[in-house]
Amino acid sequence: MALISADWNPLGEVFYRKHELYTMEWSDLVDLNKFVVAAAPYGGPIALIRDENKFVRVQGATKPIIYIYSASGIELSAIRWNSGHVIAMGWSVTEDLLCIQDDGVVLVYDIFGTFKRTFSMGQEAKDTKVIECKIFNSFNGTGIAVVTSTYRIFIINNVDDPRIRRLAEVPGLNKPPSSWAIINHERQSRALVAKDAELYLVDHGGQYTEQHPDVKTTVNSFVEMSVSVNNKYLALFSDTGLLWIGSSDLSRMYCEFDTKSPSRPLQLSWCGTGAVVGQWENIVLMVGPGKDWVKYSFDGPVHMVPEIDGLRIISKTTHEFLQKVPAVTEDIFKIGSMSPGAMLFEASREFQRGSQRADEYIRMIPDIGRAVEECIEAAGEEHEPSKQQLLLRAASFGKCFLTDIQPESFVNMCQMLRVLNNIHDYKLAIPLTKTQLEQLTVPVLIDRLVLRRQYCLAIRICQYLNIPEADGASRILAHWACYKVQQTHVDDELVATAIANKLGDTPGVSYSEIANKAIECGRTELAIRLLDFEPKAAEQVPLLMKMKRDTNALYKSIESGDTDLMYTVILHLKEIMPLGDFLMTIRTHPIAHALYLQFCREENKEMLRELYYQEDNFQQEANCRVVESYGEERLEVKLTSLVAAQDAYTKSKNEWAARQTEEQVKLLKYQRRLEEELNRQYMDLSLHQTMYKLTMEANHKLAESLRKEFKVPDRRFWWLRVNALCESNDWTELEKFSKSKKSPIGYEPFVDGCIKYGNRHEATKYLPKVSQENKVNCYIKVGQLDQAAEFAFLQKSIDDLNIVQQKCGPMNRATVEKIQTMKAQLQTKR
Amino acid sequence: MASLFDQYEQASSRKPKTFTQRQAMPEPIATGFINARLEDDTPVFNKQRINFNPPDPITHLCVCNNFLVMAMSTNILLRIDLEHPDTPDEVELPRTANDKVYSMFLDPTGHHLIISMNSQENYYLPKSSKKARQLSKMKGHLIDSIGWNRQNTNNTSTSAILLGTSRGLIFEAEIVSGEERGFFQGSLEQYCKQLFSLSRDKTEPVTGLEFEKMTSSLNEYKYFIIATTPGRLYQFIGTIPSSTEPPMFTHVFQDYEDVPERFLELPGNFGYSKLLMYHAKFREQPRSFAWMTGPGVYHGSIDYTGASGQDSVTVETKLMPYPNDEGDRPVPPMSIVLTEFHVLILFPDKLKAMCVLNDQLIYDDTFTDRFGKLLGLCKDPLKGTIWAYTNQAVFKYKVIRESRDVWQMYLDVENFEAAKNYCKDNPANMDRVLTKEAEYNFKNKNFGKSALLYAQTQNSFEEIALKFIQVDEKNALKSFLIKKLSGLRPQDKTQMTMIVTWLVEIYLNQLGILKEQEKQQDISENYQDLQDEFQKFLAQTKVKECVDGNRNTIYDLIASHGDVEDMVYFAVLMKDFERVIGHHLQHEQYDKALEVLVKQPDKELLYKFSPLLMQNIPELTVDAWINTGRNLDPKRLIPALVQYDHLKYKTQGNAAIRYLEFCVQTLDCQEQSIHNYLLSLYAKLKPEQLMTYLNFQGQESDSVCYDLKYALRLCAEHKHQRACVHIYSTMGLYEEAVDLALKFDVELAKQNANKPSEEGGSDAEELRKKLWLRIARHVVEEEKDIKRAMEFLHECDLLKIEDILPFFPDFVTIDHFKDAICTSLQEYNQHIESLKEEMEEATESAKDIRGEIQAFRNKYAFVKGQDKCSSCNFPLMTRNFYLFPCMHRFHTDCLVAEVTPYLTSAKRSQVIELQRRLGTHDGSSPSTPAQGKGQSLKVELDELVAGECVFCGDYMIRNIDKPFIDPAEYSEVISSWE
Repeated sequence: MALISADWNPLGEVFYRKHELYTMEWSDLVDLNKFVVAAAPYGGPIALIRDENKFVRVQGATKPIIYIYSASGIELSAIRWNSGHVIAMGWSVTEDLLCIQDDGVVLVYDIFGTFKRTFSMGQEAKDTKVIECKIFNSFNGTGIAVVTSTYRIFIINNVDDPRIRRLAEVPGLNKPPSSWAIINHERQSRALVAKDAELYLVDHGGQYTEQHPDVKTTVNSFVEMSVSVNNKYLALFSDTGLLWIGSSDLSRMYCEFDTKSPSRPLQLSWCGTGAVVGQWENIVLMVGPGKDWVKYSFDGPVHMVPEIDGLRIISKTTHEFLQKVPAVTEDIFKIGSMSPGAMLFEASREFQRGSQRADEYIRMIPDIGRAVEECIEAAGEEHEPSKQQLLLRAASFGKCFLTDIQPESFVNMCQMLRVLNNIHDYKLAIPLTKTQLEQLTVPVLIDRLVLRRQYCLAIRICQYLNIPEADGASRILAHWACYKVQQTHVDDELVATAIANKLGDTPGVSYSEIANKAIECGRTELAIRLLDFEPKAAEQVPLLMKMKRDTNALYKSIESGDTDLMYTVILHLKEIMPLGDFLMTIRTHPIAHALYLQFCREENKEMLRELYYQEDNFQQEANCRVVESYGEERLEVKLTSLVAAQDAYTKSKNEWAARQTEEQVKLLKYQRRLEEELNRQYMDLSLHQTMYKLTMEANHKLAESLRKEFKVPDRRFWWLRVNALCESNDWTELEKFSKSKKSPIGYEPFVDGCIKYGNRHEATKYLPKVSQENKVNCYIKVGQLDQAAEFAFLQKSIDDLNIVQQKCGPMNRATVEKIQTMKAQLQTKR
Repeated sequence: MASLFDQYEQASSRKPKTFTQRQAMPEPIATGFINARLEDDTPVFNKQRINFNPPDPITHLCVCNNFLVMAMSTNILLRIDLEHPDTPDEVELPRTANDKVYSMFLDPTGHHLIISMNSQENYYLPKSSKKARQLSKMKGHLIDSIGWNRQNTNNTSTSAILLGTSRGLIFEAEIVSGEERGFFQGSLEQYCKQLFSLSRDKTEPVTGLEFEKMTSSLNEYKYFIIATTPGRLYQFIGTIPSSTEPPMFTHVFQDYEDVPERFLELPGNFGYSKLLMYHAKFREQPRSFAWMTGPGVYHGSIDYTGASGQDSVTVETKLMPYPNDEGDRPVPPMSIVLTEFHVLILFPDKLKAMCVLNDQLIYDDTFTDRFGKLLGLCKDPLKGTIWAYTNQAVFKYKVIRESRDVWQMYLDVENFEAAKNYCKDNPANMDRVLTKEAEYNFKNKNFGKSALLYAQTQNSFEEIALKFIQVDEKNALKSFLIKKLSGLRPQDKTQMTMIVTWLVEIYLNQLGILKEQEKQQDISENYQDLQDEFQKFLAQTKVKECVDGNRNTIYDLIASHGDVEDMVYFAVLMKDFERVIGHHLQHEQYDKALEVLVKQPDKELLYKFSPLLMQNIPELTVDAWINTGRNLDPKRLIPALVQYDHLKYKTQGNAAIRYLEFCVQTLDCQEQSIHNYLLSLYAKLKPEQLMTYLNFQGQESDSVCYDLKYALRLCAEHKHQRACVHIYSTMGLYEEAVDLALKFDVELAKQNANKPSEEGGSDAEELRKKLWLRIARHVVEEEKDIKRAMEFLHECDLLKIEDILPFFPDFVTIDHFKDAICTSLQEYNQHIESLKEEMEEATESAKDIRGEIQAFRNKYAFVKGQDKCSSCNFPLMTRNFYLFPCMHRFHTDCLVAEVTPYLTSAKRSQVIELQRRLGTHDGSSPSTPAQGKGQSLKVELDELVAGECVFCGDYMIRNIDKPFIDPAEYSEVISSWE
């Protein structure tokens, strides 16, 4: 018990403890006072660049190298810096290394030193050279603030979209500000600039307000200031060694601590929110709000990284973490603390040792639930696994005595501790504490692991924490696949098989965008291999085409059955391939062939035509010619195409079609001759209509000659003459025609024709020649109802009489009585 | 590029003879210089023709700042920017009937062009515009010369310039061609005021006009103005306040207004002359001037310090007559150009270059009249290129490294400084200059300087050394050798050694001679400072490291000169302390030997000479040892410390003791032989110190540094019993210590008795008891009184009455022991009582724990229908499951799957075995008799598997620090992902 709280040192009535995270792996090739250190929060990587103004730069000597180390000092990458003079380095929230050069150009590198992108702090910063700059966390990401040699402050709130905005001038600022800091209050970031004794709060809206912090002792200039991580508190350090701690809006003053040190601290930063830590030569002074201080002495320079719940101290050999001892840990490990957690911890220790006082301690605990809760909490706050296990063992020991317990808190804590211990491992070296992880949240942690290419670990963590597949494992697998694709030095076969059997068939990962990535870095072979794994054809094919693999693009599109894919492939093939072997490849695939035919049908017909011609598909070729013939307005072209169609039909052994075509040719020639003689429009009329028109125009001989020429069956011919003569109203010709010979179609059509064209009495002339059984109908159609009735009476058919009767309307009543009398006579005789 | 008749013309031009002075017939290899000069030198001036055929004949040409302006007879100005010569642009001058360009002036930056026409019309053409505007104020004046203002840089206004007219009038003008004022109207308003008229009696044109700023204090500038007329040179010097607006030269001139004009007149004027200034770089002050006069070129340099009177700035002026090659009559030169060392003189058909330093004709270039007569010569003040033009052709002259022979000329006039800094780049010539200078110094008797100079030259060492030896100048020879020595490269050690040896020899001679002389009269200080010089010479590192190879020769040298303290000094310098010490020892100066011994770093010598020193000066030696302190190995000093028969050398003994004490106490040296010897010394000489030492050494055996057994024997034979006891107790032999201590005092025995405590738990207890028992027995047996035994009991808590009772003889009366016995019986009783109620509450807690176990049986777990199994998230009720008090539920197979990885392999196989048996077992119908066995198997399985819940038991806690990828397969997992 004593051993644990040994290395807590009291700060007023809270305790702060400092323990060693790693012994730094970068042994002696790094000593910090030669390097400018930029360490990322949340256990991020550390970037080191050689500190310029400590070296006289032998010009032409080696270019400075930026070494990026993990938190445990393992070198992640080294960037050979070959552009401009770096003023400051910093890490953004997405763990990109931001290097600001003195001409305002900001270069963004990722963890592995590959250059991502660059942007500049604006023209003015370039002209007037940046003298100081600060990288801060604004509300939506990381921001950069720079002071130019003309003492103007330019600010970028978010490095992702670098909109430069210039903060207001500080009046009368003709030398570099003694110290400045960026504060961002509810979503907008301001700069607090100290010009010797006056403090100005400037924002990009143009106005500045002079702040009057209530500083008791007189200071003649604030040489250092630092804002706490949550932007609520501010620490001001003056050149007389006065450390002023207050709220960030300078309204409240917590304490004024006189450090009595003339020199400005190498680094002033907040440890969590409870203490300010200032670092001078070999000593690190921690000052609390209650004017009480702790002094740590380090041999050699250290760099302090503020975290939300403490301060990481990076020194040459060790990487330590300074934090406020959390209340639960304090209650448990404080000497002689009677809190239930401490009792439970004591009980479990006794139990482990096998002494029976454990029972006494257990009985002394008022409520074990809270004790268990406290132990679980405290386990979370401990850094060493052995201590965590002790506390968790105590908790699980206590759990036995509880009845209705919520095991989740225990299980979650165990899971979280395992994750924390794993990422804390020096190989990976992300030293997070529980609060930091809660603040950071697990998905962000996983993204960072992915960022560091720890795919396997990230996936294991996802599986372990049962993070649903979609945004856990498969996303990581996709990232990994893309990274794998970028590895140009591995040959494609290995990459494809590695990706395939690693990805297997986890849903949610689409091979196509991996293939896209492969194409981007120009590994087409790989992309093809990857595409074979891609089940969705719609994405396979365009990529295959993009990579000039047209045949199997075609092949894929065919077996996918999606025609418009086939279209794209075909069209694409058409214009990149010479026509000849384009057709060859098409022909090998009948579906594609059919599709292309159908396409030609729409687009251009003669392409269709000689396609058929090449394939000896004379049938279709003939049809095409026939279709074309209608497209031609000049006759002999029409005739030539028809003749061509005709011999195509003959070639396809379709005599009927061939004969019909040549008949049509004869008909067209006739019509052309008719047109010249009669100067009328006969073209494109059917034979029937031609004869019909001829008869209507009363030149019967021509119609007769056509009849003989084309062997029109005479039933048709009668119908034709009857209808034509009726329509053209020359009844004399009709009468002559009806007398010429017995009509094969009977005489009703004559009657119908006359009636349809209006003169009834013409129709009566043909009534006697009508056959017996229709005579009644004809009379009715003619309108002579009484003759219809008499005739029906003669036939002695009652049905006919009924039909006649129901045709009679109201004004021929007389015929109705006659019909009823006839019906009566007929029924009596039967 | 040059057409063939160019070659013919070049060939015909009898390629310009460059008169370099006859070089000396090839000397033998000058000392040490092989001139591997590969390319012969290009001539200083070489000409090339610009292939540019002017559309019509050129009348005037000016070049400034790579901006070439040609005035052609058709009054068309052709402007060519030499950087981009492909776009010449033509400027049409407003042309009235038959007047031509009289003169044309281009300012040094090339932005302002002033043209004055015969009809006294003057035009101004800035570089940026194409229209020449006329200077109306200057109407009616012909401009002969313009003094451009070199300071002005803005290319829109000329700022203050001086104009010289053909009537000897000097005007100050400033032309501003600004189109920046509004659009499209621009009379270039200039102010031009007549400053001064030179022609008092007869009117002469001002042919040359130059002005320059001399020193400038803060609010006023001092200017000098030089004006020349053909035949006269005028100098005007004046100060103008810095704030004067234009015209700013007026009150320079008006204090020359009514004084009689002072000029320098040269006869024979041919109507025109030129004044030229040479300045090294464009913006800085001109350094020399040349004025073309009748008899020749009057040239000099300009000094701004006002050395030559306050109204002239010309110094060391010389008149250089024109070189007229013999025969034909002197034709007057047309114009001149001044370079740093030469003057180029242009004649109508030839061009000559004269060196101003020695008036030698260096370059003679005759032109054929193919291109017509040479019209003029002009130099680009910025670029320094020289242009000659005829009315059809333009020629360009290039000056290449004209300073190459200058050093030779300076050498002839014996000013070595100038010669030196003109032949800096060529060590051979440099060497010649230095040799000349050395010989010159040698001739007029200052040998020191010439020695130094000779040392820098390459000529043969022997010759020079012999020279100095002949004139018997030892000091000069010395300084020569020293200089030569410093000039030697470090890796030719032979030469260095030789010179050093010789120098040493010379120094020793001089020292010897001085020592002789001062034996007569005591002029000793220069002996002293010669000695210092010698010692300094020896001290310098070069000398040191080349003599330490062969220090014997130096020793022999010094030895042969017999001056001992130099030898000592040298030995000290050479850190050859052994010799020094040996030397002191021989002369019985032990203390001197000692302090040398002390000062020197080599400890071996200390060990070697210590016995001797110890014998003679024991106190001091020991002090010396003590002072050197830490880094002496006392073990090596033991031979020095041992003396036989101590009584005779008591001082040595005590000194030895003192040193050994010092070793032991301050150095806390752990060496056993040291401590043994110290111990033996104590045993013999100072027995009373023995105990303090032993106590000081402490108690536990492995931290004492003396040999315990030897110490024991030593103390035993010298009868130091207390020491023996002390030694026994350190050896951990407490019985012997107590037994021995009991012989002389019991108190000591008591202390020893409770010594064995701290280490080693239980059997130390009984050892102490045994020891106290022994003391008790001794106390009881020797002095028979019971009272002492009783209070003896009190003082030691280990012994109880029953321990010592048996030692008492068989007594029959109880009266002494009663209360002792009673007390011990009492405390037994309450010890029994305390044990009883400890047992009491232990049973209590046992009983109610038993109760709890019973009670726990009917707690229940509530399983809802669609509860999910905590590990596989399927509904629990579908398969047989396990229920844990911490609300976690698992299907049996899920639990087994979860637990097996944590179980040890033995347990794992047991589980599989049990499952197999259970599987076979309830496969067969559950016959009732086998129920028991199946039941027991089940219980075992539950015992193993469901001993505790996986999620919140020990398993979970244990794998908190288990890595996800366990290190065994870490590498191939990572590689498969890599």
